[in-house]
Amino acid sequence: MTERAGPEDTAATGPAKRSVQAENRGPDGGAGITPAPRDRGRWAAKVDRLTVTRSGSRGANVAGRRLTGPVQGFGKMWQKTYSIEVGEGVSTKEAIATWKEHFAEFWPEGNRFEGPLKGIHPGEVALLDVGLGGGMRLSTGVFVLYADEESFTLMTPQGHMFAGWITFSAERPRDITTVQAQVLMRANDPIYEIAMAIGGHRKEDQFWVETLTALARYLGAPPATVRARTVCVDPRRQWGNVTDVWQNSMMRSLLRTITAPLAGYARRRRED
Amino acid sequence: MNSGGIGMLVTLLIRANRQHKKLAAYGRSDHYREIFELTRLDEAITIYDSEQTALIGMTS
Repeated sequence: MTERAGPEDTAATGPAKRSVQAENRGPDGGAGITPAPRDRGRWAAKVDRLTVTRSGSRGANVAGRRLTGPVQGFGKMWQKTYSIEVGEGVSTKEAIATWKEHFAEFWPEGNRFEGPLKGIHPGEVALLDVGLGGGMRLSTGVFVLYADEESFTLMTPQGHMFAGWITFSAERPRDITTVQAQVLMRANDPIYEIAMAIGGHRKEDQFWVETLTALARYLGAPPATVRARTVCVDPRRQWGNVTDVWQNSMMRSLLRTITAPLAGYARRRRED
Repeated sequence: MNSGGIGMLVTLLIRANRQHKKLAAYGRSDHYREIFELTRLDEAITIYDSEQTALIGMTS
């Protein structure tokens, strides 16, 4: 089930509200001296541009790129929330620990997530290949923006299909644990905006439904349906960011594939 | 604050922009300034040192 709602009908859900309230309490739980931030260490340190430590060309669309959030980007801003119940026998911490440890295994076939060498920790960079259909593949990456025991967030670099972040969290409002993926995003440029409109959104819905279903199955949950909710947070496009199209990783990957034989030929000529 | 909190700030920012209003922050510690810079929220939400400088900055 996918629900689309208007711009007014949106709010961050999940652990965010609890954490914001907790931040305003003193050490004794009441109003008082502001304690040192308890979230220090859960956030990545500030970076201006991403670095990729692995060798090879796979990180070419990530190395040196800036991070982009939903404030940047070009297209309409969307908030997409996908959730599924994983049962009574799994705690929120167990669910998130499993998700972090086996993140790549839950991705649908045809997509590849090369996780950070040290696992999903704040400041780490992961490389990924996303199948776009028709044999096309988007090579890009993500940055681990935030991670704690009950949630973690990935942020995208320039050239990614969208500018934004994806937060993975678990909650146990009654006696049943629910896991959730929430995407807050804008398409990064006009090409991606068109691609999202003509099937990209549908493909993304399918991607996260399959991912959550695989996670629930791994956790031993009884068969359940993924609930999906899509909200258009901002229907306006940010034309000031139209030039971001030059960073488009899909076009760069395509160009690199097309020109690879020529580059190889030129290299051999130089060596001769 | 976890990352859900910055999502709430973005939502608030969009609502303010829709009403042709600005959104500013003040009194944030270095830690939260860094979070604003890391997430690039500082490009849309100006951060001031105090309420007074925020009011001056917002009205100028």
